[in-house]
Amino acid sequence: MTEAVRRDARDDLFIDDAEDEDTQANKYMFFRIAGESYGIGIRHILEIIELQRISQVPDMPAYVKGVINLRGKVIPVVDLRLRFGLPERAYDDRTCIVVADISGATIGFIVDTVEEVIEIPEAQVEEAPRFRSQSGKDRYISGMGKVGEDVKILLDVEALVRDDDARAIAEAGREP
Amino acid sequence: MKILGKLLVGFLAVATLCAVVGLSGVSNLRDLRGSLVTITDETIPSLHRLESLEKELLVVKVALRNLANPFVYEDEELAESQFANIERAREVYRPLLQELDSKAMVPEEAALWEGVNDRLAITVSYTDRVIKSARAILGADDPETRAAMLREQYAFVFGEGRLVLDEFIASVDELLEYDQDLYGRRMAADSVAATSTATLALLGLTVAAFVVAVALGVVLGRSISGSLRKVVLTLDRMAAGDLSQKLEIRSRDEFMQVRESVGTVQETVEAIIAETGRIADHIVSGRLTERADPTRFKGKYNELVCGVNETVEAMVGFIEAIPMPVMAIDKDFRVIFMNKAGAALGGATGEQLVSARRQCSELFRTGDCKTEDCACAKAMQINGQAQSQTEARPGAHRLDIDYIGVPIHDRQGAVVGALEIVIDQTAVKAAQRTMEKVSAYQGAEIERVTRNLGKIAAGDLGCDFELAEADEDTAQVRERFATIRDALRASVDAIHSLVTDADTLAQAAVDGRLQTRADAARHRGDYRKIIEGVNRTLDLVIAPVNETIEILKRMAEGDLTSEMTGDFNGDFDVLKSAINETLASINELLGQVTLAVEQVAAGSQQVSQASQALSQGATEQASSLEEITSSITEIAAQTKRNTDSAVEMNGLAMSARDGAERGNSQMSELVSAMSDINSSAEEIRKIVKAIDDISFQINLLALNANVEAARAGKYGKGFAVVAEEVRNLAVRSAGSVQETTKMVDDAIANIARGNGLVDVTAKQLQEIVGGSAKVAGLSEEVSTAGKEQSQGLDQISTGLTQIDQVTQANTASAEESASAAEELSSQAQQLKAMLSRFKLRAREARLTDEDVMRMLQSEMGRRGLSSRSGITLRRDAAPAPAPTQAVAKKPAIAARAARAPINPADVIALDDDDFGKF
Repeated sequence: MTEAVRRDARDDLFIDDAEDEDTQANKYMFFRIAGESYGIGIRHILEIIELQRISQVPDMPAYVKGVINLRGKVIPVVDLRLRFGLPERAYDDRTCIVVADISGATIGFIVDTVEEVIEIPEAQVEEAPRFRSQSGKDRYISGMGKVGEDVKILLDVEALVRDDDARAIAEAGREP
Repeated sequence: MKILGKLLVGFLAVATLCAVVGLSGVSNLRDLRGSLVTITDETIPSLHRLESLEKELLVVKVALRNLANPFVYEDEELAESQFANIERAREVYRPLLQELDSKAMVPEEAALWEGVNDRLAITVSYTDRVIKSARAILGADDPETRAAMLREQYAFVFGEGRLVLDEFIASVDELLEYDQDLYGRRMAADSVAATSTATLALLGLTVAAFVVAVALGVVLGRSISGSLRKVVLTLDRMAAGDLSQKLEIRSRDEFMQVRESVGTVQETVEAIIAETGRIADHIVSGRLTERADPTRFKGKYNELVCGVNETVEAMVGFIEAIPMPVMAIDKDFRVIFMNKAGAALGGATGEQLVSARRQCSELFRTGDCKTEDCACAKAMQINGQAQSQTEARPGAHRLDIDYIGVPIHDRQGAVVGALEIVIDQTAVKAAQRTMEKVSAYQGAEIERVTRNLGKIAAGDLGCDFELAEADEDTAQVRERFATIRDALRASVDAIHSLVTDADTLAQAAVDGRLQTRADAARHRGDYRKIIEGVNRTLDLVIAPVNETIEILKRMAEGDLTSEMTGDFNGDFDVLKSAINETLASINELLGQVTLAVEQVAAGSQQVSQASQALSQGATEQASSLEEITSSITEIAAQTKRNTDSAVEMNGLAMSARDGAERGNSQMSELVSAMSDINSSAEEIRKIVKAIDDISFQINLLALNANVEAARAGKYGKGFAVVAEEVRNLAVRSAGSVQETTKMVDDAIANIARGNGLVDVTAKQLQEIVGGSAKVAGLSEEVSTAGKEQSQGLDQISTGLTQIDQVTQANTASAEESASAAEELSSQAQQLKAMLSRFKLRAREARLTDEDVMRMLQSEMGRRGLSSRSGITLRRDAAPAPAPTQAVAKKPAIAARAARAPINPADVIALDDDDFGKF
């Protein structure tokens, strides 16, 4: 590990300034829901915060838990467990809100806990298997990343809010 | 005027008025009849004639018309019939016309009749002409002439003569109508008016007659009834006893005579009342000789006065008939009445005494006369009855009298004299004196008789048979008492002889000479019965005594079979039955005694046998007891050892308990230490948690830094590496924390387990403490029990020694009882021999041995012994050999059996079956 860091640091020293490398590409931030690891492209991530007090908003889909005040900015929060149709569970001190930017709209996703940021080259990403005949939940799965022996689910964040309801939420979180 | 005259005048006036009314009615009726005759005889026939005339004229009219008809002439017969019709009509109405002409008529009627007559002439000529021409036509042969004549005829009838007959009929009609009007209406109205006038007149007359009749009736009635009322009033008063009212009638008719008659009646009645009143005054005031004068009155009044006199006579007759002097005196004590009895004393008649106006004191010359003691004077003075006694000396007599004075009142209630009734007591007084003397004599003699009777009653026959001397008054009484004395003397003699005989018999009975008898012929009546009774008594006493002696003699000889058979009464029967019962009882008793003796003999044999068996058993018992004693000694030694072991065990148990208690306290300390460790582990867990939180925060920061670094492009790369490193450190520390947590959790779990084990151990230790305490207690109890046991064994040993002694004693007793039973048996035999001397009645004498055994059985059952207790009575029970064998087999059991609390006296034998139970 130390070797790798050192090598990366050396590489950085030789990186040409003109050569604008996309440092966000292929990097995914992984979090855990119901024992399963999910990844979101790091470019969508604004920050990760601990659970805050959520103000409930009436007349919203069940998975929209409400809004939070993030340093003076009101953003909606979505419980991904509920969004994925999994059973709800009580929040604990490991529960985090992943604040993401989706096409200019800021949305918080409540996850069981966050894990790490991993870079997965495109070659290691395979398309998600298609089960159209089923409920179509995989439409927000962008692909399956292989990390060593593991396979991690990569989420299409935009697709998460592609639905009408989700879009409305996204609208609510968009900058005026 | 007399009443008859008045009534005749009145009735005549009424009759006259009735005649006037009747005559007036008759005249009116006659007028009415006249008008009715006029109507029936004249008016109605006249009208009828007119109507007939009119009818006939109509016939003529028709016939004439027919004659104007040419066809009538065709038939000659028809034409002739027309002529005949006319002729007949003419014949009918011609007399009618004459009658009508002769009728009286009023002027208007006459004028109308004139018109009718005028028309009649015209009509007759017309009719004649028609008839004439008709005849001519019938006679004409030439048809032309005939036709011409026919035409002429027709023209005449229907032309010129057409109205002739009609006018005639009209005039008749006119007359008829007038007549109808005249007779039917006007004349009827006239007769109605006449009738009502007559009715009114009749009514007026009737009313006048009624009024006159009523007035006459009232006047006459008042005058008669007024007088009658006065008479009735006066008579009513007379009936009520008021004669003062005189009848006041001034009219000169028959009531005048009534007034005079009533006056006479009143005067007569008043005179009678006055006369009877006078007599009443005399009688009331005591002048009983006065009488009324009946000659002044006649008829029934005479009878009335005579009746009063008779009444007085009857009353005075009663007084005269009283056989004691009765006298009436006035206030001056002059005699105004004296009855026959009184007058006889005075030697004169009552009338002579009264007319002589003698004073009563001159007649009777009593001690009371002219003193204040005179009962008549007192009666007059106090105005009430008074009574007195004195001595009177009228004429030559001398009398003891009681007399009563009663005051006499006149009708106004004033005292005017007194009535004296004298009762002659002279004879009564003399009789009284004689009676007193007789009574005294009788008293003395009765006392003597009473005394004698008392002596007889007391058994003393020495009586006093004296009699007092008598004078002429008491001689008769003395005779009676002499009779009584003689009777008494006879009685005493009879009793005396009876007593003598009875005494003799009694003395003989006392001396035992029961053959002695008295001579009953010497006595009479009931006395004889007594002596005979005594004799019979002795006879009866002797028989049972003799029989009793006989029976007792036989009893003495031992013969108890006889009994008394004589027929005795009362107490002798009781004696007989008592002796018989005694014999029966002795029989019964001796029978039972015999039975008992036999029982005793049998029983004593049994007892002897049983005692021998008992003696043998007691010897065996003694040897068994020795064995038991040695066993007990061994047990005592063993018990002693047990007790020692128990004491030792107690010490061990105490030390075990102490050890356990110590372990228990140390265990408590261990538990508290474990608890401390547990709390420390909790602290560690908290710290670990804090570290874990921090590493999470760091991880979060690292991730954010990573995100930021990525966003910063290649300039952020180095920062990203640092962030990654930081994150790795955080992850590692988190892993360490996780391990630490796991270790702490394990430690806590171990501690908890250790805690549980410690608890269990502590509990077990507690139980050990309790158990060892219990063991200590128990071992102490064991040692105590051992001590008690050895004490008990000592006692048992002592008891056994006593039993041994008792057994020895038993053996001796059994031997003694055996010998006693032998003796008893021989005595029983002796008794039996003695009893056999008595000759008993057959029934109870014989008794089988079975009977004896049965009786013994029942006797024992009664005493509460039964076969269940293992003791039965067996007649042939030989001394049982079994106990010896039993003892040989099992001495202990035999010893126990020997110890059983059985009274040796009750033990006769043991049943064979009972040995099986051992």
